[in-house]
Amino acid sequence: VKLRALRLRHVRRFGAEGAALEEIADGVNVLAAPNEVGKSTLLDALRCALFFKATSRHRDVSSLVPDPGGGQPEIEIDLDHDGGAFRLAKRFAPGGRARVSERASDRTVAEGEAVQDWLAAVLRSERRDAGPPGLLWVTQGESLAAPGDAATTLEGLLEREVGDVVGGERARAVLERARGEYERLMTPSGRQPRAGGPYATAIDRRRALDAEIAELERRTAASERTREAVAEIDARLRTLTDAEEDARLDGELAAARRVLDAARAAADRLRVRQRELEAARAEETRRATAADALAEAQRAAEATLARRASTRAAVADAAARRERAEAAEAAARETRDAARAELEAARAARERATRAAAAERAAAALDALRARLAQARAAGEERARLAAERRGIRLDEATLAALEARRDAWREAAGRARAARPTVTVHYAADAAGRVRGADGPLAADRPLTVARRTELALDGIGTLVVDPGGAKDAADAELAARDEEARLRAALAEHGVDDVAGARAQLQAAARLDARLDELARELERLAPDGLDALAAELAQAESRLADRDPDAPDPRAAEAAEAAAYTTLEAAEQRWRAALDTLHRARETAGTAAAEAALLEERTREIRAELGPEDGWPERLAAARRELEEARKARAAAAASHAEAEREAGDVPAAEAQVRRLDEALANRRAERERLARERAERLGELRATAAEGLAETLAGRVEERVFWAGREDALGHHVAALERLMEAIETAERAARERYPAPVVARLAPLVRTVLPDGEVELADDFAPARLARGERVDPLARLSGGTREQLAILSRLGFARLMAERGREIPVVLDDAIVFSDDRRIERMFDALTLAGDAVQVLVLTCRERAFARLGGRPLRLAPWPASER
Amino acid sequence: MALRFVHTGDWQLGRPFARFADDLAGRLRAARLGAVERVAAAARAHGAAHVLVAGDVWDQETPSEATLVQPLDLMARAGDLGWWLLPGNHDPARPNGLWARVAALGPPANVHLCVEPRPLALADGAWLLPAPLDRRDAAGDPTAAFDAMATPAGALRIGLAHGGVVDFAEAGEAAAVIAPERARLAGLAYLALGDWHGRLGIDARTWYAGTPEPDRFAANDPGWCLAVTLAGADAPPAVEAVRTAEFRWHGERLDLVPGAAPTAFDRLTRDPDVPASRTLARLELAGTVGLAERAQLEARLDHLGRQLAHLEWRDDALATLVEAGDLDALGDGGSLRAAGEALAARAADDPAARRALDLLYGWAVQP
Repeated sequence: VKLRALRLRHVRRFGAEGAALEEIADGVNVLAAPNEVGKSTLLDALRCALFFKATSRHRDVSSLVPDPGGGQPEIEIDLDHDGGAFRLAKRFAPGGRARVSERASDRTVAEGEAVQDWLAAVLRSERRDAGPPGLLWVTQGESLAAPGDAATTLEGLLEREVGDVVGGERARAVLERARGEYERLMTPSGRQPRAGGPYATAIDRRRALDAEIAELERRTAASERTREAVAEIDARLRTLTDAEEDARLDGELAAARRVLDAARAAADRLRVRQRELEAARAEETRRATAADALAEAQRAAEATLARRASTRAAVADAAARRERAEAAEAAARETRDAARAELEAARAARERATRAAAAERAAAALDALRARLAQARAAGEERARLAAERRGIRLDEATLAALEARRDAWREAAGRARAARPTVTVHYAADAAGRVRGADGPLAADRPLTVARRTELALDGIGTLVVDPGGAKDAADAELAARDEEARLRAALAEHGVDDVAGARAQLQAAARLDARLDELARELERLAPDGLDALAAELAQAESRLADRDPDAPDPRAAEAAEAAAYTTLEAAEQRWRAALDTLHRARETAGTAAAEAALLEERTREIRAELGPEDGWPERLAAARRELEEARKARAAAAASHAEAEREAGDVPAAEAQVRRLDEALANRRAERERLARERAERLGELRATAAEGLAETLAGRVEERVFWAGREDALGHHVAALERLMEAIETAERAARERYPAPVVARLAPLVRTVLPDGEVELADDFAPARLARGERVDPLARLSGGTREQLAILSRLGFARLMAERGREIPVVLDDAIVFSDDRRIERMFDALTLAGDAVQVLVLTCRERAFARLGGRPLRLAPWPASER
Repeated sequence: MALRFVHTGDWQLGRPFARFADDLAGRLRAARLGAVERVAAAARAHGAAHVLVAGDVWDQETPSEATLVQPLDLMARAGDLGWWLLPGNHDPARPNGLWARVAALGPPANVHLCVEPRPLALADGAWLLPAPLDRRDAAGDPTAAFDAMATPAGALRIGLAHGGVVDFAEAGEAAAVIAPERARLAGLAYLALGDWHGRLGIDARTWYAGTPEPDRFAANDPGWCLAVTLAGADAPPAVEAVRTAEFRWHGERLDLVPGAAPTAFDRLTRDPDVPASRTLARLELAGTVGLAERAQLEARLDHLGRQLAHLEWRDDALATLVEAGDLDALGDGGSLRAAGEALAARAADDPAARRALDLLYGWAVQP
C-alpha cells in the first residue's frame, strides 16, 4: 500500500475549505509545519478513514466532528495497492457513506459495509493499533515505545521465509485446540486432573468404586465367615444332640449318686463309732486317775499317822530340856553378879594406889623443878639485856661496804693530790758528808719529799734551797677534791656514830658476837622451859599442891592394877556363861512350843484322814476295788477301738463321690446350655446370612466390579489422551520455539544497515517479540533499558523501518508514519537518522510529520504542503 | 415312546452388566431374564415336558430378592413344564446358601431343585442323575458318582452336570473336570452339561447347551438351547439347537494393512438375524495403517459406535505407518510439519506420541 493523497474537510477546524496533502511520493515525504497547523488531525483522519466504518460512533470518530454547524467529516484517501490506484472516500455520519473506487475509471470496488473488508484485506488488519499499521505508525509521544505485537505480525509475515503456504496459523489452531482439550481434562499449571472434569470424574469414580468394592468384599468375607461359623455350629449341634450320649451320661450320674449315698451312710456309722471310742477312752482315763488318787491318799495318810506318833515323843523331850535350861541360867546369873562386885572393889584399890604414887613422884621432883625455874629466869634476863645492846648497833654489812667505798674514794683523791705536788728526792753520794735538811730534819735518801708550799731546805754546806710549788692549778684542784672526799667520808662516819672505818668494822663484829649469844640463850630457855616461864611456874605450883595426896598405907599400884585385871577377866567369863545358858533356855522353849503345835496339827489331820478314808484297816480293800474298775474300763475301750477301726475300713470317699456327681451334673447342664446357646447363635448367624443374602451382596459387588471396569477403562483412555495432548502441545511448542529462533534473521538483516547508518559500529539483538533487546557496540553490549532516551528512540524507529522494509519485500508494503517522532536526538544523530530514513525510503514509503521545520529542512525527501481540498475534487 | 426335553444352562441370572451404559445394562438384564420364557417357548415347540438347566442358574450366591424370585415366577407361569435346576459353580449348593433360600421361599411345584447327588425320577422309565456342585471351587469329577448310581433296569439314565469336559483352564470357569467318556462309563443316554457358555457336542450323547443369552464376547457359539429327543436307551439322541439369543456379542481381532479398508464393520451392521442396535462389539485393531487411514478409521469407528448397542476397541496393537508424503499435508515446513516429524520419530516407541500424531493429523488435515 502506498499513500498518494489525503484530503479532508469538515474535520475539526478544517471547514468546508478543508485541507489536502497531494502528490505523496514513494520514499520519504516530509510535512514540516508549525504547531497548531493540524498535522495530528491529518493523521487521526487517516486512521479513522482506514479503520472505522462511516457510521461509527467511536470517540476517535466523534473527535473529528467540527463545531456545530460545521458539517459532517469527509475524508478521501488515494492509495495504490497491488498495481491498482484506488480512492477511498468516507463521510462520517449516522447515515454515513463509504466507497472505494478505481481512481482511473471511478469504478466502485467496494461500497458501504464492504469497504472495511476491502481495507482489512489490503492492510491485513482490522484494527488501527494492531497488525502492520499498528506496528509501523508512530504517533506523538510514542517514539520510545517498542513496536507492539511485533511477534504476531512478523511471524505471519515471516512464515513464508521458512515455510510454504501453511504453518504458524494452523499450528496455533491445533495448539489452541489441544490446549482447550487439555484444560478440559487437566489444570494447565498443576498438571492435575481438573476437578469436575471428565478425567477427574473417572478417577474419582474409580477410586470411590475401589473403596466400595473393598467394603463389599470385606462384608462378603465376613458373610463367608458367618457361613463357616454356622457350619461349625451345626457340626457341634450334631454331637450335642446325640441321644445315646445323653443316656450314657444319665446312667453314669445315677450310678455316681448311688455310690455317694452308700458313702454317706458309712460315714455316719463311723462318726457314731468315733464318739463311742472317745467315751471309752475318757472312762478309762477317769478310772485310772481315781485309782492313782486313792493310792496316793492312802500313802500320804500313812505318813501322817507315823509323824503323829513321833511328834508326841518329841513334845515330852522338849519339856525336859526346857526345865534343865532354866536351872542352868539361874546359876550362871548368880555367878556373874558375884564377879561384878569383886571387880568394883579391885578398881577402888587400884585408884588409891595410883594417887599415892603420883604424890610421891611430885615430892621427889620439886627441887629440880625449882632450880630449873631459877636458871630459866636468869637466862631470860640476860637475853633481855643483850637484845637491848644489840638493838643499839645499827650498822650492817652494806653500810660498811658503803663506808669503805667512800674511804677508798677519799684515798684515791688524796693520792691524786699528792701526786700533783712537786717532790724533792735526794740521792746522796756515797761519800757525801752533808745532808739536806728540811723543817723536820734531814731528808732521808732516795725518799721523795712532797712540797705542798714554799719550803726551805737547807743544804749542808751549801746554803738554803727554797722550793716553791707556786700556784700550780692541777695540784690545787686535786687538793680541793681530796678535801671534798675527806669531808664526805667524815660526814658518813659521823652519821653512823663511828670514828673511822676500822671502828665501824669493829662494831659490826661486836654485833655478830651478840647475835651468837642470843641464839644460845634462846636454846637454853627452850630446854629449861619449853612451854614458857609461866607454864614452868604453874607446873611447880601444881607439884607443890599434890604433896597432900601422900598416903603411906596405900597398896602397891602394880599389885592393885593386877588385882583389877584379874577381877575383870573373871567377870567376863561369868557373863559369857550366863548368855550361853540364856540362849539354850530360849531354844529349849521354842522347840517345846513347835513340837506342841505340830502335835496339835497332826491330831487334827488324823481326824480328817479318818473321816475321809475311814478306818485304816479298810484301806487295802478300797484300793483293790478301784483297780478292778480300771481294768474293766480298759477292756471297754479296746472293744470300742476295734469297732471304730472296723467302721473306718467300711467308710467310702464321700468328697470323691460328690465330685463325680457334681461333674456329671455339670456336664449334663453344660450340654443342655451349650445346645441352647448354639441354637441361639445359629439363629442369629442365619439371620445375618439371610439379611446379607436378601440384600444381594454378591450381586451388588459384581455390579460394582463391572462398573469399576468401565471407569478404570475410561480413566485409562483419558490418561492416554492426556498424555497424547501433552506430547502434541510439547511438540508444537518446541517447533514454534525453534522457528522463532530462526525468524529474526531476516529482520536483523533488514535492520542492520539502518542501524549502522546511525550507529556505525552498532549491532542490534532482537527479543522474542522482535523488539530491540540489546545494542552491541564493539565489545560493549547494553540492554535497551540502559541506553539513553535518544538512542532508544532511534532504535525504536529504526526497527520499524526494518520491519517495513521486510514487509515491503514480502509484498505487504505499508507506509511508515512518524508524527513528531524524532524528538530526543541531538543534531549529529538526527542527520544520521535522516540518512537512515532516506535509506529506508528506497523500499518503503515514509511519511514524516514534524513541527521542527529548520531541523528537518536537512532531511531531504519530498516536502509536502498543506493545501485546501482541490477545487476539482469538490 | 421317545423322551423329549430341552437342555439349557449357564443362565447366570443377576449379571449386572454395570460396565455398560445404564440403559444398555437394563436391556441386557431384561434379555437375560427373558431367556427363561424363550427356553420355555422352545420346549413347547419341541413338545418337551422338561427343561434341564445344567448349572449356574444364578450368577452369584447371594443375588437380590428380585433376581431370585423373578425367574422362579416365570418358571411357575410355565407350569406345563418341569424345570430341573442344578447348582453350578456360580450358585453352589452350600449349606444355608442360595438353594436353602430358594427352598425356604417354597419354589413352584414344577420347579425341582437338584441339590443332592441322587437319582430323580424324571418321567416314566427315565431317571435324572444330577451332579450338583456344593462349593464354588469344587474340584474333581462330580459325575464320577453316576457310575454307581442305581436306577431301575432298563430305565433311561440322563446325567445333569456342570464343569469342564476338556481342560478349559483358559475359557472355563468351574474347577470341576468331567470325564469325557462319562456317558459311556455311567450308561447314560444323554449327559447334559453346563459351564462352557457355548454350544458344543463332546460326543453323540454328551453336550454343552451353552447360555441361552450371550453375555460375553467369546466366540464359542452362545445363544442357544438344545431340544433333545431320546428314542430309547440305545438310540443316539437327536439334538436340535434352538436360537434363543436377543443380543449378539461380537468380539473380533482385525488385522489391518495399509491401503485396504476394513470390511468387518459391514458384517457388524448387516447381520440378517440381529440388528445393529442389539449388537455389542469389541474390536482388537492390529496390523498397520497409514496416517491418513488412521484418521479415517477413527471416524468410521465413531460412526459405528453410534450404530451399535455398544462398541469398544483397542488399538494398542495397531501400528501407524508414517510415510514421507503423509507429513506433506502438514506443509513443507513450519511448526506444524516440525511437530509432526518430531512426533512421528517417537511414534514407534511411545504410544502417547503416536496418539499425539493422530490428533495432530486429524485436527490439522481433516478439521
